[in-house]
Amino acid sequence: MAGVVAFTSFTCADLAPALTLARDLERRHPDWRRVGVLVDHAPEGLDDRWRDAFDRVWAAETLYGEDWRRFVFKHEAPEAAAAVKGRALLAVLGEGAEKAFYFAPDIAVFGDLDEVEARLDAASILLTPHQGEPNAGAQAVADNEAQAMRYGVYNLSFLGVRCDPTGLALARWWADRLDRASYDAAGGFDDQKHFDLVPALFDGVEVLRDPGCHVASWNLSRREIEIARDGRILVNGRFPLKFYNFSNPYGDGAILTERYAGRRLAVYELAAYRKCALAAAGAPPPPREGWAYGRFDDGAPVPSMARRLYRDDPELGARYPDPFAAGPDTFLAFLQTNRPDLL
Amino acid sequence: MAEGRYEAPKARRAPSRARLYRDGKLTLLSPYFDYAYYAFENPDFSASGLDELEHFNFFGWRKLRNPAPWFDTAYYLASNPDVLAAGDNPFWHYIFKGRAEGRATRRPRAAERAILDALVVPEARPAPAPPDLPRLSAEELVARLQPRLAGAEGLVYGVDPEGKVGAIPGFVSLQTAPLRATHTLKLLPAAWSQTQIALDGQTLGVATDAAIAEALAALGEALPPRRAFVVRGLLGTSIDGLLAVEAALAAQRRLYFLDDFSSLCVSPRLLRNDVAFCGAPPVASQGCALCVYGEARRALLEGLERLFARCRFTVVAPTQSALALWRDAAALPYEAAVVAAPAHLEGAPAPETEAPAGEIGVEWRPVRVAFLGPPTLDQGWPTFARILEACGDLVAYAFHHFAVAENLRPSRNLLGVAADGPLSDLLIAHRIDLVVMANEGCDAFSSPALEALAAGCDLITLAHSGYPAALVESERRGRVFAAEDDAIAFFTEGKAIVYARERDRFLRLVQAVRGQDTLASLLA
Repeated sequence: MAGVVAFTSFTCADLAPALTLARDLERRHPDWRRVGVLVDHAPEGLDDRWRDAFDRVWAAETLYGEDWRRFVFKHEAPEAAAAVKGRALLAVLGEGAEKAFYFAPDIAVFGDLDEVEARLDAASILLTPHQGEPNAGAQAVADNEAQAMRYGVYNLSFLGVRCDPTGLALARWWADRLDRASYDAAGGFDDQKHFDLVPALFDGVEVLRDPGCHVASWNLSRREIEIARDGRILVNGRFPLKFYNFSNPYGDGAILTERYAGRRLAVYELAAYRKCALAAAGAPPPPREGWAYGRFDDGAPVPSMARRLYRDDPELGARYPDPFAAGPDTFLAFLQTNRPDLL
Repeated sequence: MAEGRYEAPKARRAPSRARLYRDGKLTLLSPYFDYAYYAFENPDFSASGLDELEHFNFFGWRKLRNPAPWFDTAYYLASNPDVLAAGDNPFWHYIFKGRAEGRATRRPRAAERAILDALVVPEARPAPAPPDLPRLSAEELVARLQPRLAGAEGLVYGVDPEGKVGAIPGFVSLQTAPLRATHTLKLLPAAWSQTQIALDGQTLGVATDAAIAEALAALGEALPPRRAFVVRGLLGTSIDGLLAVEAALAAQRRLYFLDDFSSLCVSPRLLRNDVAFCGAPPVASQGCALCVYGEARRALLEGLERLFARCRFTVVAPTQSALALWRDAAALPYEAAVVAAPAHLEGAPAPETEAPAGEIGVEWRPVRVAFLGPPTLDQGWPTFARILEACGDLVAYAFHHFAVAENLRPSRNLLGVAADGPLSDLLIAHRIDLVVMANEGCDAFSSPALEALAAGCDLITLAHSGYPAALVESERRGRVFAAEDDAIAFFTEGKAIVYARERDRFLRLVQAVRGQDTLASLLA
């Protein structure tokens, strides 16, 4: 798998954005290989043609072996989709990719990424910050800079890594940290906070401060988007828009977008485009039974508190290597006996 | 016209419009509440026995009804959980607390976002049901046409969805339109594309383009010696069908009219996503990729390239600016281009003598400002509404809305005038000074703009409005602004008052709008 590889990770609930991303990348960079990591089981009877958007689709469990069920049980679906990124990067580099890019399914690619790819000719690691320049005013600082300090300086919906000793070292370090913890700590993922250390721990780190890269609700306070008469989407008047993160479009993301986009119509046009693109992705609706790892083997839902209990007590992990199992002498039986309040 | 000195108008209408209520809270709220708007939007209030504000206070806001066009109750409650939790009347909260705190009364760009929320690709939009017309074969067409063509000097074949090709002296007129009007080209072969046909204004029926081409070929020598192929609109047609007909007609004159910009995009007023003027950028641009019309535009341009390469049209534009826009954006081959206005002003121009400036912009003689037509975004209503919102309470201005009765939207500080007569007459009767034409879409031609000038009004418009902007430039009657905010500032900063006073120094004679049949004069 030589050359450039772009990979993403997703559950069936995020199939539409994942397909949209894959097609964006195919349109812009048909020479890049596209890898999708499915952190879920495709429902039986699901038309498999969605896989054609990718060159390869990996089942996340193949990256873990026997430990998978023990590992994935500790995570909610979004956490698990993030937790596999490190091992997926190791696998991508291990298969011979010269440059690897991770894009979260929330990202839509609007422009040519050649310039971004070229950065990895010199750098080993490419990061995009939540904030690329100082904010002005107490509200903007609180909304944006303070949040970045809380959740991590860099947003890990994007990462670029060159396959060199530094890039490989980063991939091993990241996979290890994610194996230990990739949990949603009040809105921010642990691995994202870990990455604050990366410029100190590794050489060859470049912080990509191009305002056209990784535009999102959390940096609209400093990024003005417009659609020029020649049809280019420009950020801050002269930087072509390359990719935009549509994360959390109905929650805080919507509030920040309105607060900082104000009357700038182009931002709302982007959002409308995103909505239409997702609807046109041709993805099947999310499975009615939910995430494949959302239930015990007997069909009972896995409560969040049970996951927390399991991940916080290593002894439980050792005693119940398959925490999804139902029946006697299982974690479920343990809960029924000792912690029925959690069920 | 000189800019002159100006200062922002400050005098506001006296709070006499406040009503007194036993509940003092309502009395305080009364000056801000829009009774006319509420009564129009909520006709059921009258059955309650309460007045508009009482109804809103006791029932309306709980049903998410709005107290004024600028206040979205549902939005305010959703975006301010503290207000929702307190269970307070959200309008009261805004007026006496939220306003000082800078809270928003509606989502930014509400009008545009409502359109964006409902966007549908043009291919999926419903088309009106086709008329029930008799089907005609090639033989039947020959039989119907032959007697009329005998001895005729000329034949005009008009591709004309809006029926603009009328009777032309010396010519037989064959008007055609797609059977089913759609927002895109029909990617159909000539044998499948169905076309309505009228002969000198009399409907004949429906035939396929292949049958029409076959009939024209069969008529051969019986066709008049002078033949013209005239296209005045393409949407809904099949390029293969048109090419088949044109080949059979072998016309000496081929004319393409820029009545709108549907030869640049399937959005004929060049409205990206129905919300923003785009200027027809390259179809491979990010803007087109983002636009709901992007894919259909790609197919349109492919078809146009084939049609124009074959037909080598003479392109007929209503104005030089429309032609310039088309030339910049189209990159289509053509034989020649001419500018021929479909109408013009007639009558004595304003004399150059100056008189003392009148006292305009005061309570007894406000600057009278009008909006014409349906209150839609493409007509520029949001800009007018922002001007009204910012300046409606100022005594210096009086705002009017001229539209057919069902399009009037009563609200306070806005006088609705049902347009049940000639527009010029109504504008003269109401002594309108300025007409705001901040349309977002680009018009190749606009009859109301011309009528407004004929009535002695000046236009306030945006640079991308097309015809209104061209008219202001050519007639020096009004102001053209690059951006909506500049147009609004023209009013809020009082420049509109100075402008109205300046223009009042010149006697303006009422002029007439004279239409002309550009096709007839081109074929003469």
